[in-house]
Amino acid sequence: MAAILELKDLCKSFGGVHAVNHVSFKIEKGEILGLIGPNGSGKSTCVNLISGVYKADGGDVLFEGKSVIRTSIAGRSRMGIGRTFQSPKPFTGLTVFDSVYTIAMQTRSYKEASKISGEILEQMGLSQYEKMRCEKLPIEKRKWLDMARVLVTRPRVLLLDEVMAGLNPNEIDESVALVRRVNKSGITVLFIEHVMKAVIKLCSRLVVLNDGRLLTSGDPDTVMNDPKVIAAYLGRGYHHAEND
Amino acid sequence: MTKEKPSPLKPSRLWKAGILLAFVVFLFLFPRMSSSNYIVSIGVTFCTFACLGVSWNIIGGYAAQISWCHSSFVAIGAYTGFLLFNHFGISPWISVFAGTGISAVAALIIGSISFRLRGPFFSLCTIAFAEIMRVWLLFQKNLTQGANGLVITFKQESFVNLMFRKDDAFYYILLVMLILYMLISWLLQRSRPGYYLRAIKVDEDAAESLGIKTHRIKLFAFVLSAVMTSAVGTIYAFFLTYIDPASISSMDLATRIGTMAVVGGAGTLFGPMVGALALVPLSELANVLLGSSGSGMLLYGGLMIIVIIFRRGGIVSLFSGDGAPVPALLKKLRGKGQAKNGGDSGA
Ligand SMILES: Nc1ncnc2c1ncn2[C@@H]1O[C@H](COP(=O)(O)OP(=O)(O)OP(=O)(O)O)[C@@H](O)[C@H]1O
Ligand SMILES: [Mg+2]
Repeated sequence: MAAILELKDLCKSFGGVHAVNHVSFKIEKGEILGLIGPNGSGKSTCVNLISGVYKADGGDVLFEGKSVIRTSIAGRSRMGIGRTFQSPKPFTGLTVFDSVYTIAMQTRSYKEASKISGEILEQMGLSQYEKMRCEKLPIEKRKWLDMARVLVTRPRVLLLDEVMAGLNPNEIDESVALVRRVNKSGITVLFIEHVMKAVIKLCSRLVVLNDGRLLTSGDPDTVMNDPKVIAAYLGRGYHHAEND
Repeated sequence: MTKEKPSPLKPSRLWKAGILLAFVVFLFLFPRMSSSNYIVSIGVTFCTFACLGVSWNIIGGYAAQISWCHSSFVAIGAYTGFLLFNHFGISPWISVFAGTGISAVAALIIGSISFRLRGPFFSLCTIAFAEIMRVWLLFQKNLTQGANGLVITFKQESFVNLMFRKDDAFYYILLVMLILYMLISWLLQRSRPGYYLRAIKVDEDAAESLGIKTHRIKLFAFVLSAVMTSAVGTIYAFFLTYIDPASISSMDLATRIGTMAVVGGAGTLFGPMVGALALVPLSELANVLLGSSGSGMLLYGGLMIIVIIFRRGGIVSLFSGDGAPVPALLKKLRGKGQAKNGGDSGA
């Protein structure tokens, strides 16, 4: 299988914090790759580097073999790199429908855009909220709206940053099914999540970050039982306990 | 949870259309209602500032990129018109295009420099440009007569040269422009750039990561806004017949333009016009009552603060949107009326 996305020796620091420290890994075409790690390990920073929201200090991002490190944020989106934000970013003031419609009309006629927006919202179970202003949407639905918006851009690879945080077990099952459906439709997924149940259900491979460095990678079983990984998560726990 | 039904939309839409039509008819009949040229001149000022507010709103309202240099575009339009007329006898109907061209280039340059960066950088650049423009106009004495300003002398009534004995003609020209500008604004709202601008206003990162070329859209909006402003500047200058940097290229004027939109309702179709409708007569009244032109500015500042603190959406937000007090009040009154009638007005 060919890599659709490749991170090569990526670096990003904020002041003295090495948020992402020489990280390299590949995302294979068609897979759901899980990116996990304790809080502050650099997962979201990776997503921001891949989508261009942050400028990398060093290293490269290859999309389908070509470097996109100099491509603009919008350019990367148009090439097929889609993402959601860890904290949802609704277009306040616009209706739920219009926020999807706005994005959909970029590459379609108004009529087509309107049609596809309706369809996507239906798939996301948001039809009943269409006319609601999106800032009034219940918190857990906002992630779905973000997802709907990015899906109408027809991404080739989708970076999902904790779309399941704060959902109840039922909703998590629904979302797992949804992500699987998205993947089946031919979209490669980079899946960042703390909800391990979902990670294990969905991902065929995991990459673990810790303190901005790549800790390990491999199939979920091996990774989850890796003493280094357990230590990374537990270590955090101990630290927290000590600080409390 | 709640599914809003479209049915109550229809009568209110009809109402809106009716009110709008009545208002347009009123505007067209306005000069006929009074024989006083002074009243008509207030009408001209209203149309001018409504046009300027609508233009400013395209970048300052829809995209929330606050510009402080719209007076400079007025000045470019005004000075271009006067200079081309005085030196070459060129009709303002032609020089309007020269002015808009120069303004477009200026906006393109300011925008290209400043839109790449976020935050207040754009606003700061516009302030710098406005100052450069004002000082330049003051010191190019050969061309602009500096602080003395430029005058157009009335020769004879002429539509081509925008010279009229009465202000009615200016009023109608600017009224037609206002209608045209509202139409442009309306079309923009319903088209791609309008949607993109509203997304950019809320969250540039989100908009951009969904493929919107924010830099380009903002640039487009700024240039359009500058062009529209400059065209008003040319026409308005011929109404004034006298221009100088202190009045036409000042921070004062820039503030006034923005205030129209903000007080009326920034980022809405009718906001700037409603703002001008409220502010122009008010400041005229303040000038008459308090006797100085400074009182008008005080009024602007005060209203601006009130709006920003108490009602971000401006005057129009009192009538539209959720939680608007006026429809809620009407609904209450209507509800009471129905109760009294015994509720037989079901259908
Ligand atoms: N914009 C920023 N400015 C300063 N520091 C930042 C910024 N973004 C991230 N960081 C820092 O970089 C490190 C990695 O953060 P990041 O958000 O990538 O972690 P994460 O793995 O996504 O964590 P979480 O699971 O909590 O979302 C943290 O120490 C964080 O404080
Ligand atoms: Mg994160």
